[in-house]
This record gives sequence, C-alpha cells and structure tokens, in this order.
Amino acid sequence: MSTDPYIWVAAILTLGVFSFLLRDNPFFCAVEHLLVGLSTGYMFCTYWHNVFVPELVTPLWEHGAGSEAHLWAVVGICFLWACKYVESVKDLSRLALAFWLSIDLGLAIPTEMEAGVIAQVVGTMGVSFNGPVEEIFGNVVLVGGTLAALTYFFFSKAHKGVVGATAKVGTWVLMIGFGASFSYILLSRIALLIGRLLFLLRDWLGVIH
Amino acid sequence: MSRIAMALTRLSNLDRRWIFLVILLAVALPLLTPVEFRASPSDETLRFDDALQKAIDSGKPIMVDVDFGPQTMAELEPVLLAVMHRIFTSKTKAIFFTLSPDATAPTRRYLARMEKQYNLNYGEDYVFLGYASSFAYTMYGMGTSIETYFHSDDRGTPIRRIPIMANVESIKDVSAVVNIASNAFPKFWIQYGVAAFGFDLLVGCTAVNATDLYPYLQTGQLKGLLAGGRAGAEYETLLVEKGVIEKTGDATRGLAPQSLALLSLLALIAVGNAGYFARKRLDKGVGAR
Repeated sequence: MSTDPYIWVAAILTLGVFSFLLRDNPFFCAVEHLLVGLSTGYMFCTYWHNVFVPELVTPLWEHGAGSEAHLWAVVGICFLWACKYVESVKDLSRLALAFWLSIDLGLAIPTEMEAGVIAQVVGTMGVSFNGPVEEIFGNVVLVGGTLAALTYFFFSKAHKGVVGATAKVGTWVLMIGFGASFSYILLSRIALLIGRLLFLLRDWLGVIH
Repeated sequence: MSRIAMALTRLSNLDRRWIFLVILLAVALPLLTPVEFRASPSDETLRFDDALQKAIDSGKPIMVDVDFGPQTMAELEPVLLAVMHRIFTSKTKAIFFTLSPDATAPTRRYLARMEKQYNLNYGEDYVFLGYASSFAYTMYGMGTSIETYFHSDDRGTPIRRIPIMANVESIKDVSAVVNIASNAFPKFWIQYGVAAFGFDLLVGCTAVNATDLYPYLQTGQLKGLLAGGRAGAEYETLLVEKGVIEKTGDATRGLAPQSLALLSLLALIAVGNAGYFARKRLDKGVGAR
C-alpha cells in the first residue's frame, strides 16, 4: 500500500466520485465542488500567468508608448466587451463581438472549404476501383454509402421510388455510422474506468504490479 | 415460455447498480489475474509508424502537440509514451508544446521521465515550449512564425536562445507534427495547419474522436492515426517487436479488461432487448385475453 499522501488524497477522492454510483451523497457533492473549484482556479492562474500578464500587461508596461502601442486597441476591445454590463452603452459590446466573429469566420471559412469540403469531395471522387477485391469492395461501399447518405438529406424531390430506396439505404449508412461512434464512446469510457482501477489497485493498494 | 418471458422482463428492469457491479468485476478481475491479451499491429498502426519513421529519417526535429489532461490520461498516456520512446530511441530532436492548459503539468512529468531514461539534454535534444492560448490562431500562425506565439519556453528562456530552435523558424522547418489529443484539435490542425502549409500530421486520439478523423486518413490529410487504447496496445506490441521498448505497457494491460467489459455489455444489451420483446409479447397476450 502506498505511503505517498498525494496518492491517498487522490484515491479517497476517486472513491468519492465512484460513490455516486450507489446514490447521490454529501461525499460526492463535496468532491464535485472541489473539482469545479480547483479546475476554475487552475484555469484562471494558467491564463493569468501564461496569457494576460506576458502577452498584454508586460508589453504595455515596458513598451506601451512605442513598439507595443497597438496593444492599446486590445485593451479598448476588452472595455467594449465590458460595456454589456452598463445598460446605457450595452450595444457597444456588439462591436467587440463583430470584430471577433469577423476574424474567426475569415480564418475558418476558406480553410474549412479547403480541408473539410474540397479535399473530402476529391478524396471520395478519386477512389480507385482497381486492385484487390476487398479494396474495390471498400471503395464501392464508400462511394455508394456517401451518395446514399447525401440522398437522405436531399429534400427537393419526394422520397419515393429510386430516390426513396436510396434514401432508405442512406438511413442505414447513417445508423451504422452512429453505431460505430457509440461503440467507440463505450471503448473510451471503459478505458477511463481501467485507468482509475489501475490507479487504485496498483498505485494505491499495491495489489498488482 | 411465459415463465422465461417473465424472467427476461424482470431482468430488463434490473436495478442499474447491478450493472455497475458487473462492469466493475469485468474490469477488475482481469487486472487482478495474470491474463494478458496481445494486439497485433493493424495496417493503420503500421502506417502511423511508417510516417513517423519517415519523419525521423528526414533528420529534422519533430513537433509534438500534447492536448490531453488528467481526464483522458488512461487512454492517451500510453500512446504518448510510446511515441516519445520511438522518437528518443532514434535520437531525434523533438519540440513539445500544448494548446490545452491542463496538459502542461502531465507533459512536464512525462518529459522529466524521458530525460532521465534517455539521458537527454534539455534545449538540445528536446524542449517544452509550454502552453499557448487561442489554438486556431496559434496553429495557423505557427506556419509563418513560431516565436510570435511562443516567445519563450516553459522555463522562461527566450526561444532564440534555445539551441534546438536555432534552425526552426516556422512549422515548415520540422519534419512532422504529432498531435496527441482528447479534443477536436486534430481536426483543427488539418483545417488551420495542413490545408494552409501542407506538412505531415500524425494523430493519437481517444476512441470517441476516431470516427470523426477516419475520413481524413482516407484522403491522406492525416498521415497516421492511433485511435484509442487498442491502437495504443498495437503500437506497444510493434515497438516491442522492433526492440524500441522492452515490454508492453498499460495499453496492452487494458486489453483483457476491455474485452471482458465489452462482452458483458453485449450480454446486457442482448438481455435488455430480449426483455423488451418479451414484455411486448406478454402485453399482447394480456390484451388478447
């Protein structure tokens, strides 16, 4: 059994979280609040020490009147955000929001078109139907499945006849996709449980090595 | 027949705490016994290793972005450690950083372990640049200048004074970027990094994110993917076969409990469904009378 007090604290807190499986209880609530408080405090300190002070306060303090003067614009935008708490000038916060959204969208739209749309369409259109049988079968399923799933979301024509049948296949493709996602989620959650039990049995109790 | 149906109905109404107990036993018992499963490396794992080998052979440093915290450590720690062993046994220089604040402390710990094991010199063999905020801008901006986003490393040394960074101005000066992440960052790396600057990206992710990333592997936007604990176990086996590490680690150890837990879940799902249909049948019978 471990003699490290940190391991003991972690083990007791882990048991506190697991205690929720029996029923909601004060021990679990205490651990839950501790986690939320610690996470918030940790994040605040990280942003303060790694972002706010070195990226804004220090450059402004040292070169605010010279090479880093542009950072005063950032301070101005911060104040615009804070305007939402003052009723008479709350609309000014929309300027900050507009500034933020325009930069985000300007960066996201062209890159997403390139990486998420064009490259994926080219990837699906460019599959080869030569090679080993299993590869050809895989590519047929890929192209056919994509077309069927897209047909399901095509609402300009009634889902009857060939379109209806293809849309039905599309539904199955989507369901298989959701099933695969769900099974991966189960795998992930079990992996977390294995990690916690390894910690309790190995690092804390020392019953396995 | 109706007796079986009644029993199945009762089972489908089982208190969920019994289910928790079954899963707990399914995971704990294989851990307590010396049973260990082996995972033979799949094509995906071999592809990941080939891409990493190509990056190592280029002679340039490799960048590793660590984006997971304590909550997904069980799944991604073995993957990251395996990648670290692979890089450091081949004497390749590596630049580590994170875009997730909760990954800073674990990364420091893993690197300290590696420094001791491989006798590494900080700043020459590897460096940890620490945390940078605003992930999208950082990913995009590192394509032109790393220094703009990381003025100094995790220990406060300006990056111009770090020997390993002497010839690394932007992401174009490294052989590949490896992202071990529990969030959607690999997708953003493809969007903001690969699409704009065209470098090789290798990813280790949680199983939850795997289905989102497979399409990018098929198109070649991702050069390699290790998805979840099973892929971690496969990579451990591969590294043992290659002589990089002596024995497999926690990912392989997790295979037996994972298999038994999944079998238990399948059985429980089957019982639940059988109970549902049995109840439907019983209700129909009562209605008919």
